[in-house]
Amino acid sequence: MGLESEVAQLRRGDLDALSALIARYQNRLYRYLLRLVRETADAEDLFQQTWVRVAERIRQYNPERNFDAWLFSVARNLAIDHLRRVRADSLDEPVSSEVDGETKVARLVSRERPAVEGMLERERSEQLEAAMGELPLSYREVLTLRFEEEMKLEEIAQVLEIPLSTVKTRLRRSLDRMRHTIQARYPN
Amino acid sequence: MDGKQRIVKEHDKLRDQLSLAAAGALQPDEEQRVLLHAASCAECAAELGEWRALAGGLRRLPTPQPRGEVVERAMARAAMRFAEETEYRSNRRVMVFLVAFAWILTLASWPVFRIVSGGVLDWLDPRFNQTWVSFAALTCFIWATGGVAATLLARQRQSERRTA
Amino acid sequence: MSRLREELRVIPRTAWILAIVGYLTVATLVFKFAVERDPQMSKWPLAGQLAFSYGLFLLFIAAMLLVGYVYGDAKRRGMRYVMWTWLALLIPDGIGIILYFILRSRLPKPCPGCSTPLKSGYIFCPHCGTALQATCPHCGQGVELIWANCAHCGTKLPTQPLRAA
Repeated sequence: MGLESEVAQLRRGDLDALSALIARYQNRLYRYLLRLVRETADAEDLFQQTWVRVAERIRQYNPERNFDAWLFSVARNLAIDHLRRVRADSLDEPVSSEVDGETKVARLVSRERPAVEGMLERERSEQLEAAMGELPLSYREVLTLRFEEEMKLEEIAQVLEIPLSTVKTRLRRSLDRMRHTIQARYPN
Repeated sequence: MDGKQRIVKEHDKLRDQLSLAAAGALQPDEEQRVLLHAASCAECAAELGEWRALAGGLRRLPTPQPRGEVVERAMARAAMRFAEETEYRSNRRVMVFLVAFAWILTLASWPVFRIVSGGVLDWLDPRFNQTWVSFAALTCFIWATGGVAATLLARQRQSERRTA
Repeated sequence: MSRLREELRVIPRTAWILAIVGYLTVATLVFKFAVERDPQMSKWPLAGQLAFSYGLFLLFIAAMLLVGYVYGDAKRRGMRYVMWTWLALLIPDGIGIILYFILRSRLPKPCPGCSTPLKSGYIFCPHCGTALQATCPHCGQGVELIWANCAHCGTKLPTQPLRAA
């Protein structure tokens, strides 16, 4: 069942299509939310809320629009509302509590890691995730959408509701910041 | 001097675009220019290599996965909400139909009332023949009865719900 | 559209018969006595008079069928169907029918244990005792499967399997 037919069936009222859509997007959506809110419990809750919102609004969704972009923007809006409510001041602050020498973020994310990975590679990934966790929200967003979701710039512009040129600028700045963060934390 | 300044400016401009090139975010012609420059400039080539390593590392980040129960709960909640929405929408459609029907009945009752009162009941009260005011009054009375009945029934229903 | 057909089946056959017979009777009576006697309408062309009597009273069929539906639907929902049928019939201009639709209770679901149809809202079946819902370990009241905390006493609920008891 292709994506378009799943969406069309859901709009007609078929709940099996909902289950198929959730299965199709579950990892990607969860990853995106986790990058945004940086807390497992919050990401899990927002994951559920996003799908409830999808069930509510699927009939108002315009099928000509890109479904990926729509789904991710629904998730994003919920995440931002959540962040505003829970930690009004720290929308852009890095998660800075250190536990056992590792940062909280690295510990949180590495729990969900699949086992198949070399040690060096794993260390490198953890460093990258930790560094990303220190970036402001707008930078984290654009990095995860570009590199983990592999969205085209136009799609990213739709999700973030900003013009294409801003996406490019933000991408460049986030990469710069990422590089600086890594060099500061791991000067090798 | 002029030529050298131009080359330096060009080098700086392209250097800014190295990160975007590694991210695959440039237009084909822009990317061509950058790659061409990197082919001849060792500094930029090295930096491009670094950016590419970073981009590759980001692309290869492992995907965190949600727990099974989280997904199940999401499905249960969404399915429930979906069923609610469906029922809500069909109820709304029924309501619209019924209200329209009620209005049609109201409007239809006027000529019928007139006919009946004009033909059969004309001995009752001639004032009630053919005045729009009397029809309006009749309609208001009917809807008011309905309103009162609705309030009473709703209250009874609420108290039933509370004790249930 | 099949949903509509399902709902139409709720209307008892008597209602259909009454609707059609009643329509023909009333329309004919109106035509014979009222229209001909009325000072203005008797001047109308015959087609107009017929259209008035037989056309307008088609609404009568719709109204009768709706009252029939109220009868059948209230019965299957375990409501006081006699009262509701009278209300739907007597409150004029279809307002009784609107009231019914706003205030009707939910459809009863069969008990998974003994298959008796049960009103919604029960936590245990009154006939066979099967649990119909999960209950809070602290206060014993019914809880929804997707709740994180009990809505009655506030206790945090254990992460329970999503299949019903």
